[in-house]
Amino acid sequence: MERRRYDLPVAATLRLQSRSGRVHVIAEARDDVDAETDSLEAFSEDGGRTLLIRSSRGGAKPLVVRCPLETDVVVGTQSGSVKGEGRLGVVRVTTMSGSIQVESAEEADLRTMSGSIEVGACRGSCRASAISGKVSVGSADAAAANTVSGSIKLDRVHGSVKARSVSGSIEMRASGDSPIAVKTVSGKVRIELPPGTEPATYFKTRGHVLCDFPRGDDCRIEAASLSGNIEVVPA
Amino acid sequence: MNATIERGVRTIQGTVMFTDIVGFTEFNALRGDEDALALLAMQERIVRSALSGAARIVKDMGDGLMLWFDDPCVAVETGLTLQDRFEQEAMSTDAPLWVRIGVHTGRQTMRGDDLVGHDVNIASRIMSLAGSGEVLASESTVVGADGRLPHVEFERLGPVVMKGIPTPINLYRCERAA
Repeated sequence: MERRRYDLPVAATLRLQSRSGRVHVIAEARDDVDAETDSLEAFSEDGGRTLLIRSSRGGAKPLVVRCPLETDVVVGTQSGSVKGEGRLGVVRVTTMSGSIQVESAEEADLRTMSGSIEVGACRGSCRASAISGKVSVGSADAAAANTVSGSIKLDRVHGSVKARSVSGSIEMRASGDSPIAVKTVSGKVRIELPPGTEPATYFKTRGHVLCDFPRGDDCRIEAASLSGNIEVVPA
Repeated sequence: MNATIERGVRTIQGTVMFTDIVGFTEFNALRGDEDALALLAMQERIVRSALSGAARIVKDMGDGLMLWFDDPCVAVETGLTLQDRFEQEAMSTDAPLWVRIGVHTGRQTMRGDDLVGHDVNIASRIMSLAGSGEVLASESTVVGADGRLPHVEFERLGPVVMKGIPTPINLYRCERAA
């Protein structure tokens, strides 16, 4: 097991790479960066603004990195899952087959081909793209989510929402004052809005449509599905 | 086209783009072969109408296409134009023309009209990481564009470790500047 400590310049980005191991990033009250795994390498990039830590070879131990609160983190793995714990800055994760879990981020761009994506809270915009896994977001200022067969669940989005799924269902609770664009091929759509909202609705589906709101202009809702049902109901 | 011949193998420098219709299998199952073929034809018609100069369709990949461009700028610009046109077509019809696009600039080896090689494989892997409606490009494409696309924003997504590709690839999402 190898463990190293690094000083991280202010406003720096942490870039983490692992071919096959898991990556666990923990944001906590500290000034330095502490990295631990079987074997690792580290480099300074972008004139010292970026610290790259690379897990040298896939091992049994995950790459565990402890960093200051609100650090911007970029993670790239081939098959390992990625977990971000604590209050992180801008988080970008791309993994070919692992799942992604982020507790709290300023902004997030997360993509995986076969794992699921779970975000607790995103203070800015959250973009999540999965193929077969599901996408779940606790809260976000704005959200864009894509899946093929996985479901999409957006618990609380304050701003605009774009969600697209092929066969998975899409469920969301929105603020009712920002645009929503939702599309599926066969998945069902359920949108919850605050009672009293008067949305401008545009529906297109061969399935059933249920909308419990009078038409107005509080927010634009576009929902389209080839065969899935569409429901817009009070939260 | 900048071509070189090394040991009898003809290689060219250019930008490869892969497109892929997301959810094509489900659409085919729901709507049948006739509608599926119409969707493929719609994709090809839009792509052909967006190509100019030396750009060409290299081959049909089933539910996607492989394209080649002699200029990374043209590739990125075409990718964004295609997404706009796919979106317009999907809105005016009920066809889910949801397409993901990956772009990578490098060297390709010619095999008849086909192109093969490491850089072709990278372009394919990049496409597989794009969400529907997205254009993702490698760093070599962004560097090749060399600041000639002021109306395009390249959002850096970071290095991606891809299966079978020894070196991590820096990926960017291409979007029209607001």
